[in-house]
Amino acid sequence: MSAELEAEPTFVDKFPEEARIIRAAMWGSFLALTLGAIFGIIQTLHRTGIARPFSSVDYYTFLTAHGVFLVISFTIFFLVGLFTWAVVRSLDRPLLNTKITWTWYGMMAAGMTMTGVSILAGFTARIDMSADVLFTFYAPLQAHPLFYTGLVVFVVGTWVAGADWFRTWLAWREENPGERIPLQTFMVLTTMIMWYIATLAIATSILVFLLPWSLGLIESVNPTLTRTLFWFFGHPVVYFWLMPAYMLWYTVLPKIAGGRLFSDPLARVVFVLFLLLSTPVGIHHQYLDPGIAEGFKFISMTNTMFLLLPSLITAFTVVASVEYGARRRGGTGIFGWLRALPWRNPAFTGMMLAGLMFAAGGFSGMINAGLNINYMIHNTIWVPGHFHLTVGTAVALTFMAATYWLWPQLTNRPLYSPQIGLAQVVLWFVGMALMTNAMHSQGLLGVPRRTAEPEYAGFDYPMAFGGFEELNLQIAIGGTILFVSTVLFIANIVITSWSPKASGLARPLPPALSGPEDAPKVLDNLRLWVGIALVLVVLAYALPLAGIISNSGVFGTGAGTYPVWIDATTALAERVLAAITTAATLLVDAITGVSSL
Amino acid sequence: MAGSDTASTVTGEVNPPGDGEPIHEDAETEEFDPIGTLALIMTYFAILVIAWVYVYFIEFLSRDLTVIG
Repeated sequence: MSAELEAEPTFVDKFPEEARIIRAAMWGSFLALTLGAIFGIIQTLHRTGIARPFSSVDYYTFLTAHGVFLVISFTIFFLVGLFTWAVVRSLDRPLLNTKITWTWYGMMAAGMTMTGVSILAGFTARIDMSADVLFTFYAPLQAHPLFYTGLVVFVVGTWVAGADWFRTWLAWREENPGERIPLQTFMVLTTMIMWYIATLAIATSILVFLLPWSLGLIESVNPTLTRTLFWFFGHPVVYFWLMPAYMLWYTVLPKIAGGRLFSDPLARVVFVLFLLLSTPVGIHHQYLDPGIAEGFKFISMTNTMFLLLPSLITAFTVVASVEYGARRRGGTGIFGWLRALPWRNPAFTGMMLAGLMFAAGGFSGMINAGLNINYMIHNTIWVPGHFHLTVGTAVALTFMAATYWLWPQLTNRPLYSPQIGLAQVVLWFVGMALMTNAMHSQGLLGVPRRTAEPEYAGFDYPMAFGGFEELNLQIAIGGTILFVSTVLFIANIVITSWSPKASGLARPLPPALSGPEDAPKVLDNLRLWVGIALVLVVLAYALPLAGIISNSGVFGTGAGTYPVWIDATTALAERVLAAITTAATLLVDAITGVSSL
Repeated sequence: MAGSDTASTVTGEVNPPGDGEPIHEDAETEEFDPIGTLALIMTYFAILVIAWVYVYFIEFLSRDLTVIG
């Protein structure tokens, strides 16, 4: 061991307490990944008809658990760990008060446990509790109050986490007046601003409507309103998953490739664009919802197409950074440089394959975003095919690949087996390629999503590119490979816990080729971007929301409640209900008055 | 400096073992022109164009036109 390597401390050497918190967050994430993978393979085999050991009623419990555990718990626990690492690393200072950090971690863990228990209780009739409302919890599907309460506690936990990182940055700014925000911290802060704006809607939806409704305090909700509030949050949440992956592609991937980030200013521009554009597009998830005027959907589509811009800038910047690494390694030629890259490194290969899948996801995303051709694939299994490319690969595979790179620096333990890691990321790619390709094809045949038994008596799906059964086999094989890949990932990380400690595991990140000094100062003006983001949100949502409310009222017209699991409406609740109804009527009158002006 | 596994670049970056082979120092100072990136992105756009043509066949030629309204 050289003296030089010994002199380079790892993250855990410099910030042991922060590393402990990050590891705790990531273990939470990996637990959710394990559960999600188990539910995933059960679903895959069930809906393709390969094996149906559980009832088709339970399918929806598995589906809800798969969705919530993976896209809320796995992704967000991982990213709060990653963001803590990024802020502390790039500011090179500890968090202000780790008691606050443990508090938000505890809130997130408690919230997710509550939500998880309410979902899993659906498997047994002994507990009068269920939440088979799927990830989107659309009313009038109704979950147990614990489901909504857990989500609120979880989201408030993430708010405190954001405040924790902002406070740490402000402290750093006082110590370093006039300096540019370090790139990784800039990425965390812009992502969190977007998250604050987005989650306002879901907090309103849950606290004002869904939770009181599930408690029996109000009789009905306006399903279009709660759906619209969900998608106000639901599209930016996609970027909440994706932006940490982008952060890894911008700051870590070039380093592993042997190069450096091509352009710090472009990276900042991309994150600002995501902050501005990711929220005022949510209505593109509601192209087929009645009750929203086509014009608003068209505006949403236009905003969505603008959102392609930061992703295309990313494609250029990240690939150029990697190419720079390849050239430094001696790569030559127009395509020959690709051979010079470190393909045996699971972190590198995993992230590159994730990026490749994201390029394919970009294509199916453009179909989803197009107002006219969306009709062709709406509510078909094409849509899960799409988001298994994006969140299921671009995000999930990047997170797993990054774990291979980051975990040794958080533990001082070298990865148990980089070879298994390499096999794991390749298996993920192959499994996902099979599964999502078949899902897209089935979607084009009209096979519905969210359906336990998508085969119908006396009806055959039209033959196009591969028959229904053949595509089912592809989905089942792909899903099984993905399950195996998850098991390999988890096993590798768990066994690493018993690896002997080693030194020399630090991997410092190099500065960008074109550094922050080349970026216009206005990019760091966070207040300005918050202001513009809010204006865009108001422009995109004020009129549609006013229209929805003036059509059917704040609390709807009584669309019914499914499943009706609670009948304990107390006299007190009825009195509260009467008061709320009166207030709501007044509010509706006021809004109708304003909108008719 | 122990050996070739800890190649230092002009930026002071340490390339430790496990992160790949040693890098070529002289390439650092050359003007970097991302021509390979351009080639890859053009390939992606070509695939996109082909895929859009494919969608045309799926939507319009494999079934009747969908008319809404």
